[in-house]
Order: sequence, then C-alpha cells, then structure tokens
Amino acid sequence: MNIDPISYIPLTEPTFYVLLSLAPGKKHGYAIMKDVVELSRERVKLSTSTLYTAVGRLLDQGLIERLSDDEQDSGPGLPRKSYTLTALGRRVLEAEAVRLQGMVKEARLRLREDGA
Amino acid sequence: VKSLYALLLHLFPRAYQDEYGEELRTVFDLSFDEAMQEGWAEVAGFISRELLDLPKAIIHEHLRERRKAHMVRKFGSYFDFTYGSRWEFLTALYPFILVGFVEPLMIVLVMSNLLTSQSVLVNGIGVFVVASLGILLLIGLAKGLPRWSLPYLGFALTILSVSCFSALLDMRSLRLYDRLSPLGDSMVEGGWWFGLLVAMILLMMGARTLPAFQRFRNDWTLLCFIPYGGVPFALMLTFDAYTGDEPFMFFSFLVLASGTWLYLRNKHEWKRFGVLFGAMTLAMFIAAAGKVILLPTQDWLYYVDPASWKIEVMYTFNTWIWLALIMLLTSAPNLLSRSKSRLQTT
Repeated sequence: MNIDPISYIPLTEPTFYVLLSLAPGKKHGYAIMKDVVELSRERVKLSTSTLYTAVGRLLDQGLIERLSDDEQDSGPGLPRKSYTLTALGRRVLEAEAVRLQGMVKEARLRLREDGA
Repeated sequence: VKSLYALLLHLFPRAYQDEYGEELRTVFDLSFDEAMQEGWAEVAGFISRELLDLPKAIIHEHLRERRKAHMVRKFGSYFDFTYGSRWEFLTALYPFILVGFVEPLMIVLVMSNLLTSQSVLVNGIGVFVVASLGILLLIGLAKGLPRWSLPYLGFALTILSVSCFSALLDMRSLRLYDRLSPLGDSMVEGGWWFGLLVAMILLMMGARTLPAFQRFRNDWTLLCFIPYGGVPFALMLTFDAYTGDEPFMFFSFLVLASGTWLYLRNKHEWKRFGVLFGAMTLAMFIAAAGKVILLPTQDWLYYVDPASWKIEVMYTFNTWIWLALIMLLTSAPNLLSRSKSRLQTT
C-alpha cells in the first residue's frame, strides 16, 4: 500500500525530533530523549511520558517500529526495547524536511526584500 | 522519587502499563540519576517537567484507549445483524465451519500419520461433532426454532430423507429402483431428496395456516434457510467414495459459511434468498469440478471410461437440481403474491 507521506505533515516539533533522532539507526527510549535535547540545542526537553506518548502514536501510525528483544544490544540498566524508523517514517521525515526548507527559503527571500 | 513515579504509573490504562510501564520506569530512573549528577536545579527542572506532563499523558492515553475500544466495538458491530445477535451468527455458522473444516483436518492428520484413523482422538472428535450438532438442534427445537437453528433442522431432515429412501431401496419387495429407473437418473437420485421436499411442503403449509409459524410468513427466506442446512450432507454424499477431496470440501464449506454470513447480514429478502441460492450453487459447482479433477486418481475406479466424468458430474448436477427445486419452492408463494400485487397495481 502506497501511503502519501504528505498526509502526515506538518509534524509537531517533538515528533520531528524523535523521528530525526532515529534517522541514523535504532535507539532505545533514553537515547532518543538525550538525542532530542542535543538536536534541539537544549530547547526541547521531553519528559518520559511525553516521549512514550509520541512513541506510541508513531508506532500506531507505522512511522517507527519496535525491535524484538533478540535484535537489541542495549547495555545493562538501559531499556531493553529499541525503536527504528520505518520506510514510511523516513519518507515522512524527508517530506517534512522539504516543507521546512521551503518555509525557510520563503522567509529568507521576504526578509531580503524587506531589507533592500 | 523513583518509587513515587512508579506508583503514579499505575494511573495509566492497564494495557499501556503492560506495554510501556517498564520502559517508562527505566528511562525515568536513568534521567533522574543524570539530573542528580548535574545538581539540584536540574533535578527540580526535571521533576517539575515530569509532574506537569504526566497528568496530560495519563488523560491522553485513557482517551486513546477509549478510542481503541470504540473502534473494536465498531468492528464488532459489523457482526450485528438486522435482528439477532453475535451468538446467533456463531451458532448458525457452526455446522458449516465444523463439518467443513474438522473433517478435512482429521483426514489430513491421518494421511500424514500424525493420527491413526482408529485413534481415540479421531473417534472422539467425530463423536463431538455429531453430539454438538445434535445438542444444538435440540436446543433450537426447545427454543421454538430460532433463525440460527434452521440449518440444523435442514441437516437433520436431509439425513432422515436419505435414510428413509435408502431403507425403501433396500426393501426388495418394493422394487423401487426398477420402478424409478425408466424415469431417468434424475428421478432415482431425486429419491434421496424426496423426503426433504415433502417436509418442506408440510412446513410451507404450516406457515400459511398455523399461528405458531407466523414467523415464516413474515420472512419467507427462513424456509429457504432450512434446505440450505442440508447442503453439507449433500456434499458429503457427493464425495462419498472419493479420496483427496479435502481441498474441494474445504472450499465448498467456506462458500456455504460465507453464504450464511451474508444471509444473516442482509436486510433485503430477495438478496438473502439470492445469497443462499448462489452459495449452494457455487458449493455444488466446486464439488463437481473437484470430482472431474479427482476422478482419474481414484483407486476404486477399475476402468476409467471417457464418459465416467460425465456420469459423476451429472450425479452432482442432479443433486443441485433437487436442492435448487426445493429452495425455489420455498420462495414460490412469495413470487406469486408479488406478481399478483404488481398486476393489481398496473
């Protein structure tokens, strides 16, 4: 089934960062949380419950998937379940990046016109 | 703090706790330990963030759970019928699923040497199938023949009809076979269904006169649902001596089960009748096609005549003709009254 990624965008900022965090590869919940803080330059700090609300929704939407226990190699004390981006999730992330890029481009053009 | 958080997690819906509870606790503990290393200001910020977001997440998850439950109910409503219930749906489907699926499954298990044909389990399953059908028929009779029980009645009437005709054929003094043979194969084979035909005519007469049969006047397709219950037995007779008939039996019964399902769901009487008639026809067609395919592989056939397959197909065709006749007969009074009312309107 070919689902149009456009139907999922615009993404909220936390959702965008969660998906972006998973773009390079699989991560467990704690690693996602830390990565989001780093990616947003400490602007977006997710609480545990907000993170898992987003994770649950993204799983339902099929944008991410949970890896089974034997596929994981998390360290001791770390969550045993990890998540990875699905093909659809990657397409949605790319579509959102294009949308944001377009917005930034338009904003820059207008600001340049105003300045001139 | 960690224990308090673990306690608060119990406010999430049960399913959510089972799925994410452990992860939430682990991530919270790790984040808390990290904040502790960075000082009290960080700890305060972390705890306030968690405490502010937690009620929001709990409410969100409860609402999501309710939405999911609503979707399940919505899906469940797909099995609610114009009148009747899910129980009715299951009990009406039961004979078609049970006979159609259990018998091929047992034969496959025996053929693959997982069970022996004389094993206690095979015999036990056979007894269970017959007993459960019998018990449900008795419950149906005791409850005044509700809609779900009609195929059971049809199944029992068909067995009775075939048994009576077999007994009559065995009575050599009657010379029934000799008397019917000149009339053609259709008449001889029709003898199996003659008892069912008579039973249906009696029921139709009862439906027109007896107050207790008012239901059959209100919904004439109910009468058609009775001989439909006899189709499984007709299929068993059709494949009587055949081996390797399991896939064809399975698909025929699948068609019959689908027909029952569509019949119970449909609101329009003629569509309901069409579904039963169509499913019966398709099931018999699958059986006829199966016989043509299987015939050359049968070891009981010492000599395969080029016309053998025609004889076999004709036997199934004759069975179909008789079943079709009985089913059409049940709809005839309604058909006639419709034509009459149309003439009056014109």
